[in-house]
Amino acid sequence: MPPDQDCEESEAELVSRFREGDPSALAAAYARWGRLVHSLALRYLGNYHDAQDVTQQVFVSAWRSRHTLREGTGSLGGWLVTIARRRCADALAVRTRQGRSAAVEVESLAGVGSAVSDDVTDRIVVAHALDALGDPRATIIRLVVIDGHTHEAVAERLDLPLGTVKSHVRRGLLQLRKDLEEVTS
Amino acid sequence: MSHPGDDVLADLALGQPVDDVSSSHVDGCDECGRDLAALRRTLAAVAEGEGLHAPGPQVWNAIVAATSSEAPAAAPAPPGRSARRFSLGSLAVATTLGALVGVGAIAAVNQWRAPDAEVVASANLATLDTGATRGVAEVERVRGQLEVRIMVSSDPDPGGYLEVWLINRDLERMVSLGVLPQGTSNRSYPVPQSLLDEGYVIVDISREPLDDQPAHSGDSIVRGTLAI
Repeated sequence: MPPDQDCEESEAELVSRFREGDPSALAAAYARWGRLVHSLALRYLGNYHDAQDVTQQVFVSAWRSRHTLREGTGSLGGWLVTIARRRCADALAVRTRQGRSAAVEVESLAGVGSAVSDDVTDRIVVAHALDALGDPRATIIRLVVIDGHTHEAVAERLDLPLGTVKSHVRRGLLQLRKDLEEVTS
Repeated sequence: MSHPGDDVLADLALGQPVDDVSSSHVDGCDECGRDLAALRRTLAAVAEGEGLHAPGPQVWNAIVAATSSEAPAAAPAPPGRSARRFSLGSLAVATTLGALVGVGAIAAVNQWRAPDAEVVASANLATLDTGATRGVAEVERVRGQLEVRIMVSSDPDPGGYLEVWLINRDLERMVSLGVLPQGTSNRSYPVPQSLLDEGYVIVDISREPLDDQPAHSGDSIVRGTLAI
């Protein structure tokens, strides 16, 4: 699948520029993953103010520790997600220490590895990757997977051949799985 | 038998019919079973339909501010900023260069763009008092990344340095894109799409004294509004 390969190459290139301290790489990383990081933080922390603080911290701390990013391994998006989850856990821990009641959040905070936060991360990462698929693929997947329409109904509604719809759903699902694994593995 | 292709596993995850041979292989194959479980996990995550929320433009501002406070030796320049602060000594050199680069160079806009750049919007940069056009700003999309390119005739003036800003339509908020070195009549600054979407469309170049004050000096030299 050539488009996927392009995507991988450009991420590898971005990682390399990021490590070298090319300032435009920080802007590019923010353009690509800022929404994802912020959405995760908002979901974990529950308010915009804290989520924006964490989003800022994630990119600043990623930039400052960019030399620890290994060339050719992992994905920059996955690394940012890991930092984001750690920062969210820290922010929740601070809240607890400050006595701002967050008993429920503290349960889920148990960390960064708990099943609860894994599910939340999965959902947000996939929603972000779904957006990146572009149309018509993203719309077709939403209609089939989220709204539960049959392939046939979607083909009719969008006036596309049935085979095209099926192929978009398959290819899209495989791409989303790959994106999810890159970010969460 | 060999493993069925990804398409078959995707169909299985989606509950679509597949041939019996593939189906019974997957039932007895750990590797295919793991792939199928991963696809189902993905589908379950999609089905939840989680909403995404973009951060406000002040977040990027704060990132730029935080990374620009680092010492240049410890870290390279933050987004859109010059790699080093100008010293008075380097300005003297820059001024000489600035005098060499004239308005005539503006005509060669094409040679400055990346070959695969797509121009999304542009604006003439004009002086606030006389309205004389002194340069051009363009928003370009280069390999998926947006950049604001500034092309101005350099103004040899040793009284400080030039800084490029994006001002919001509300004329209240602004973001610094970075320094425009004198003697450089063409420079591009990466910007996130969200900034433009939020209404930061007025390009402004200010003259800044060397006083370490990060705010706009109020001394705008040229301005232009991007038609987006």
